[in-house]
Amino acid sequence: MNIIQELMAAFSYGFMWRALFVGVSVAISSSFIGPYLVLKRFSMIGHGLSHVAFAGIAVGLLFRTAPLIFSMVIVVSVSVFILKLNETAKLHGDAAIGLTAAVAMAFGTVLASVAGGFNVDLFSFLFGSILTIQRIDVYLSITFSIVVIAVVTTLYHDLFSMTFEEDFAKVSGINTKRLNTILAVLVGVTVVIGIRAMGTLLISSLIIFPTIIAMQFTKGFKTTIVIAAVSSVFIVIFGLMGSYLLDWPSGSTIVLLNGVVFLGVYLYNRILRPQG
Amino acid sequence: MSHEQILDIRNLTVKYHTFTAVSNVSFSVNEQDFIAIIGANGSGKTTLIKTVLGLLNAQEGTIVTPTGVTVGYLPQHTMSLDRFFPATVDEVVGMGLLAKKRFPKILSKQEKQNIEDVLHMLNIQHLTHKRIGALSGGQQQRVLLARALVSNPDVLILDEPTSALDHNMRKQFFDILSHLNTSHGVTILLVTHDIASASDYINRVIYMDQKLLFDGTFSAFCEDQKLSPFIHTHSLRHKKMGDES
Repeated sequence: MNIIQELMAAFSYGFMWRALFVGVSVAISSSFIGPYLVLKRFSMIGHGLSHVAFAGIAVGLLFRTAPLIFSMVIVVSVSVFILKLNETAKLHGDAAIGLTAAVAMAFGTVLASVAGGFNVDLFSFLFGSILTIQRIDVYLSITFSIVVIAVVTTLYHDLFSMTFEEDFAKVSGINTKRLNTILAVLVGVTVVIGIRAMGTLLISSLIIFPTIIAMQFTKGFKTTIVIAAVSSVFIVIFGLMGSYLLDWPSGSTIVLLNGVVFLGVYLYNRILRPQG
Repeated sequence: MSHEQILDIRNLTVKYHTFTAVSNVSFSVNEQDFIAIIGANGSGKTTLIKTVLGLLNAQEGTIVTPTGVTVGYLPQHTMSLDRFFPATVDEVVGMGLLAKKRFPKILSKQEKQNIEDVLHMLNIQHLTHKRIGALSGGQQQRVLLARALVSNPDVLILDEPTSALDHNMRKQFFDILSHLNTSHGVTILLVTHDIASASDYINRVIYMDQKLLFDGTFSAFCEDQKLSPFIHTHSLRHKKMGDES
């Protein structure tokens, strides 16, 4: 069977379509918040929160309740908590993220070790598995992605202003504290809805990679978001197909593809692209 | 010609925990004043203007502005210095209007014309679609000044806007500020270390070291015996004598 026949066979299965819907919706929503986090030098919050999500999932699996919903409540709360720690200036942002991530990961692994019995499930949450995506995950991903995109689009100018220069935004009458809290909630939501396809350890790459890929080409902020979203959708689609064909974990395949694309555009920009 | 009072600061005290950055400062600003606020590092200049702008809270004192007075702000050390920040000049200047608008944040025809006018006035209209990080320091400052001016503010507050500029760029920048002050009636409050360059344009100097130590004309400032160490350090008496000869 050649590759096209294999892919056609893949899309005759429901799981492949579910993975596609989840992947594309997460690709778009994470690209919408990525530029704000990357440019505010807060991109590692996604990585930190994914560790918190791991702990949340471990608790959810232990109590046999919906692990993603459980995780979302915890991750959003911790995201706002990290932001507040950073705002009080008693702890730098990266230190707050590092501490929270380490404690959450330790808590999750201890829980998994003590409880036992759900190690296979946990592996699929760590690195993403398209086979485990349920219909409810699709509904959750699409719904929350629409919410994230709608909020970011509505608050676009305020978020742009705050990201460029927070003091100027404040003087202009923008409530930056409220805006930062909204951003923290959106990050928490995006991290959790991306876990099924990407896994807790790799979801942050979907927030960072599309933005830095787009920044290699773009001059403007709006075009950065659009190009990030478009490139991320293509990468996720090809990544999922690659994951199926090669039998690799979906999250890892998508991250590797992102890495290859970034390297390609970076080298093109530095070596081949005419200057000026 | 007398001008209306546009800002009144009374007995202002601002503290960071136990450290008093601004102590019992009082002064007023009239329409079309061009004031340089000077002092050594850590003398409370930036704290003072950040409090006036509402970015910091005062522990004591009052700041009164008549209703409807609008303020433009050009902060110190801007993010634009991140040369990879993906924002074009028109996006940054448009921010000056859009950040203040209510939802839906859409520019009217008149506002788009305002942006074009300001870009022309500052002679940066050819940079409209350039990425701000790709511009020189002087061009970046003009873009950020355009952002502050595009909403037609009554008062313009600038925090060390010329610290990264060379001598020629500084002169060009002060010429623009002077034009805004005299031809457009914009009141200017300028925090600066470069009083020597600013002295040709300003009508008042405020010198502070936590407390307000001097408020008056540049000539009177240079004559003030109490301030001679500062004046000596900045070679200002020589400059004043040079101006008079």
